[in-house]
Amino acid sequence: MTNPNPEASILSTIQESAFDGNKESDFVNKTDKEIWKAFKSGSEVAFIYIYRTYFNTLYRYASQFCRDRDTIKDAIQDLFIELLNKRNKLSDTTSIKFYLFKSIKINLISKFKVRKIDYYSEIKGFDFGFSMSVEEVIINQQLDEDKKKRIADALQKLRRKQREIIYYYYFENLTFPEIASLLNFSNPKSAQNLLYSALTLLKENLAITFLLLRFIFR
Amino acid sequence: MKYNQYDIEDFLADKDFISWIKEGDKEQSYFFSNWLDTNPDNKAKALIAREMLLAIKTEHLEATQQEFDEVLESLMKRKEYKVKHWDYRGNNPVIWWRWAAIIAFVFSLSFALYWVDGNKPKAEDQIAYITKGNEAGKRSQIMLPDGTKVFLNACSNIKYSDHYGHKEREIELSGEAFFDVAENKASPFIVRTGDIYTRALGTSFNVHVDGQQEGIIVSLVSGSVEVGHINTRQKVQLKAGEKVNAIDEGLNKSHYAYKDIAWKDGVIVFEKASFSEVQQTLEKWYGVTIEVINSPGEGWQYSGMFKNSSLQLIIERMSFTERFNYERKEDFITITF
Repeated sequence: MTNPNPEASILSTIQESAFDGNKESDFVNKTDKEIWKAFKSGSEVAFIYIYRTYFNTLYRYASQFCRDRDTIKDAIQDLFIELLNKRNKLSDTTSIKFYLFKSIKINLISKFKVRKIDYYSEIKGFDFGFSMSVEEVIINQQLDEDKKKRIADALQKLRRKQREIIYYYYFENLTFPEIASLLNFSNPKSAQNLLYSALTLLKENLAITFLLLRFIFR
Repeated sequence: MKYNQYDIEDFLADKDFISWIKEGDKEQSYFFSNWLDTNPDNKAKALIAREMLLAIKTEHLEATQQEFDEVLESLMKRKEYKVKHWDYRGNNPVIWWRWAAIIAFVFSLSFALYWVDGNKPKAEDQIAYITKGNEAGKRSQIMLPDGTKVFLNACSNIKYSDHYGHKEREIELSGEAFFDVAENKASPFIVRTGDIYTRALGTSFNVHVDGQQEGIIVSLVSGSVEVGHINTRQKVQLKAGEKVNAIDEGLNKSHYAYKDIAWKDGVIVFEKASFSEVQQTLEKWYGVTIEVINSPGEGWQYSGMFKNSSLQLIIERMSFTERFNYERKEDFITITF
């Protein structure tokens, strides 16, 4: 499946003659604060712009909690419906992505609580798992297997929250205060400490592996 | 300099370092290459950190184009999305008395200008655009300055400049409209729908941007039109009775059926329609939301015609012949098979 291209959507024809005189291109250079404010004030184009900009990333994030595509779609739809319903009462934000992440996380977790499903294997999410792969060609098959095992072992040692923080920090570029909020930490420093503990763990278990790699493949 | 004291974790956590590795940031690149050359001691640690960062890959599901479109379409069908919900005009809402002062000022200013300048033509950058649109449940008839009649369907809108009729007659359309074009051999009438244009001199035709199949369909009732693609320069001429479907960079000619233009007469035509088609047509026509419990089987289809009928009549008649129950709460209908 190819990634959806927000420009190629069949609905782009409809959006160009929006009712409020704005075009989506107007929002490309605006800050999150401005875009959010425009949406709160009733700009349909701002709403569509937000949808287009964050749909893909929300989908990827939601799949960490649940692998069932229908549930993910429902969660995203519910999120945007809630935005429409509460438009006038929403607080201001300087990071729309963080706001959307927080809302959808709450939604997905409560969905599972209601169903009393914790680890229903078919729909369990990716749980912030990640892998480390090295692109270089490995001549020695044995070395390759060893390396893979070492990496897998090292990653196993990480706790779920450590994997989650790596996702937020490296792939979604969130700040420590935002990460702390998503992980329900009261202090951003706790998030920073957690990240460091994860990185130290990775270093202790993997640095040798990566160092060897460099020596062999000058 | 802090980088000399850095351990691997510190590199891994450093946002500048990360943006250099992940985004190839030019500024950072210059800084770090320079640093690496002049600090061989800590170079090894930096390079290991770099290898590790490049190796990390997340696991996740990617959304499909279809899912992107589906969720957006169903959002737009919702009550909460109705056009009148959006009342944003311009950048800042202004308090009314300020508006009154501004209007008074502009009025007096323009009066003074008119007195001084007489009838000077407007400058190019003062073109204003007029937009008219219909949400689901609404159809309208619009008369353009040159006498052309536009029947605008639900979920559709048109846009034209306030110069329309003077030198040019150009309309931008999204959705569906039927045009009864006033004859003017000196000024061709052009409808723009994305990359496709339809040009006519004095005719009546229907233009439909089809959301489902992603094609644009032009049906010609009388006169003659030319339909073309702006980029590929492909074009066809239509004679009365013909229609063309612009899809995937191609232009496919055929003949149109009454079904293609029936909506303008207030007629809904179902020809072996699936339930989903019936549902979508009624939702768009009446601006309601229809939920179905126990959807009918794969082979279910419906044929029938309704002229200027109320939704109540249609649902009642259908429920009788198709044997389903229904419940209606204003704009919300639940059908149970």
